[in-house]
Amino acid sequence: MSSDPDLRARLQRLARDVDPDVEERLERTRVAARRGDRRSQLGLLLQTAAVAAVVLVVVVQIAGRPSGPASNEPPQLHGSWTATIASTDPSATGAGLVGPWTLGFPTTGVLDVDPPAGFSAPHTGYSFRQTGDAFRTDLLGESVCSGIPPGTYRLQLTGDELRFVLIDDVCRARALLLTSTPWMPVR
Amino acid sequence: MATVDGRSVTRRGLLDDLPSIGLVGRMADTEAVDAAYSAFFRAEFGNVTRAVYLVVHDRSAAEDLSQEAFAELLVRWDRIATYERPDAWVRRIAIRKAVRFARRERLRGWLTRWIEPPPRRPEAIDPDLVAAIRSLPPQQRAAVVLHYFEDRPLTEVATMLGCSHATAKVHVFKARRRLAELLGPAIAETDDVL
Repeated sequence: MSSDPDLRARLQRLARDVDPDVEERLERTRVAARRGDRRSQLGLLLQTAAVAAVVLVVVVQIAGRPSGPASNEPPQLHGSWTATIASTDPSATGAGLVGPWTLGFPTTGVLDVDPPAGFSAPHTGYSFRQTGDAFRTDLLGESVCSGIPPGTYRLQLTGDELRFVLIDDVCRARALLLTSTPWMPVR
Repeated sequence: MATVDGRSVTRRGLLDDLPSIGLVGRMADTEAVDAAYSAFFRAEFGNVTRAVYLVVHDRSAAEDLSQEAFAELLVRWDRIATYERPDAWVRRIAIRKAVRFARRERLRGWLTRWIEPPPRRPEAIDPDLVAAIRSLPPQQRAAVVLHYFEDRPLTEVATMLGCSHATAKVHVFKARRRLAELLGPAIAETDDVL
């Protein structure tokens, strides 16, 4: 190992001068360890409490967030939705709207319309456009809404229910079809 | 692993032999662990304190620093006792504490040298050697102590100081060169480190 015998010998001689009272130090070490252990347990306890407090705050914040009917996020229209138009409204009966309707909203922007069996007017080629929660469509423009400009609605998604809220549409039949009842997703 | 009378002294090992359920078993367990730790302490405390003293050159501080290291060991005794070399663990902790202490003392010495005289220390057996070692940076002091006093290879010196093998080698080389300048040729010019 070392070939500095002089240095080593002098270090050994110097160190021999140190002769601690081992028993006394052992007792003091035990006391210090107990104190340190208690301190570390207390530290752990405080850490745990701090983590629990943070978790609680996060949970409370999450629970306190607004939820339910009026979600601020505009619903993204996709998939197919269905609604059944009741015969209680004479206008619906007159326009042949009574019965189950299914509307599909593909990314092409062309509505996929599946009318009730009794609806004999053209039902293909109608378009739609969604901007935020605003919805605009020329649905039924080749039949009962012929010659009428597209209507504008606001989309409202509540749970599984999709509602079209009328903003501007002079075609009463289209407004009746879209707004008289909530639309449910087709699964 | 630490042993007493050839038996394992870890809590886990004792639980294998003693009734592990009930107060009697737990008390016997605690007593055995305490006995094992005490035996270890009595065997190692003096050696560790002497090594620490050679770094800090203050007997009281050396004992306090060693005691702190052994207190940390006691808190973790269940785990450390299973190591192959629990003595290396406690020595490493003590030496690092000593290096930190020496750094603080050095800094304090620089900061206060203009406003207060250096504290008078009890005359050491070899004041020239003490003065020479005190002139070294703390890491080099520790490297000298571990390599020359404790006769540890550079790999262990590096592990205990928390540095690379090459750095430990440089510490020892520079320290020896400096000591040779201060203490004379008897210390110098061997190249066993390089």
